Amino acid sequence: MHEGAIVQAIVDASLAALRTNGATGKVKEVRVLVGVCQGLVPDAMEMFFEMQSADTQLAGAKLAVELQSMVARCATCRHDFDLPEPIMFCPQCGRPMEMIKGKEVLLQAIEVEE
Amino acid sequence: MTTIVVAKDPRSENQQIADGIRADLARRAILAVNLISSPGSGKTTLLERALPLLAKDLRLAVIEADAATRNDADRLEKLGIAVEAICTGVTSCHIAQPSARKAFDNLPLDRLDLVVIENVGNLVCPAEEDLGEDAKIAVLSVAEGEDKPLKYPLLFQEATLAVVNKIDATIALGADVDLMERNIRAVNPRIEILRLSARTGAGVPLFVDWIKDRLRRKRGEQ
Repeated sequence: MHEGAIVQAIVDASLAALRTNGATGKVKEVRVLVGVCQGLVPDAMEMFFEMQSADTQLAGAKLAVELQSMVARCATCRHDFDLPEPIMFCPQCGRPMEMIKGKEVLLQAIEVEE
Repeated sequence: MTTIVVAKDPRSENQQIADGIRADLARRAILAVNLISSPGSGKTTLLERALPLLAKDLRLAVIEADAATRNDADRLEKLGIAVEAICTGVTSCHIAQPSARKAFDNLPLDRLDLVVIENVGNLVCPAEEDLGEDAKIAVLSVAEGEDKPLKYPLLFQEATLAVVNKIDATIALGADVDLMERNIRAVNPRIEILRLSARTGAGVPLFVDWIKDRLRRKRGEQ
């Protein structure tokens, strides 16, 4: 139940951000970006969000999950490549690459009705 | 409609806990490794073999996580090894930072050289959790299929060492261990790989030496 733990962190961080910003209105949408390497299933995240946000200010809000595909940078020739598969050798020079996108979990923004 | 821009990792509090654990371990020059694999790859059997060898020279303890039982903790305690057991419950798939913190706090850190974390058997979720360890160790058995590193890249990208276990069963299973290793290196060109059989003990001394070497390096002894 991987999604449950991440969604709980998203719920907690969203409620904290609402408090910090003094936003008391009804929340319409919570937007998150997750890298495909995290192995998270958006449908499952939405289901958990519905359950875990009930009885909070987030109740009824939609969790909008955007998937970030894998992008790697070659440490040698500095080119960036979109990766359909997680093969970390540069298609251009064959040297090792570093993953620069595709592993993140980011709470991006919260839409609140006035 | 108002948009509140947050733009942060919702798990940053957990990262602070992990950083705190890492600092505590650094202050005491304790090495911590986090063993991660799918269920049944042989993590506990590997520890049953390796820990008695490590315990000859090092003071060590194990943080042992299981979703529903204490079976693995009991197996290691029989060997006279100090075990801090975490039962994550079946709704959780990995050790989270707050329970790791509690487990470390229950250990006599002033009298330890090495802490081994045996995570819940799962190739996905534990890989992304930083528990303050010095190294993640991925354990993959030859029975699991050569393409697993490509299917579950995150663990192999986060791991410093990959242990390919059950090499004694290679022929019976028709496993291609060279291909498995190539796939591990494909997702992480910098990873170190050891082949061993926890069951027969073949290659286990290499694993023991790897851990001792990491500890010496952490203590600046070479």
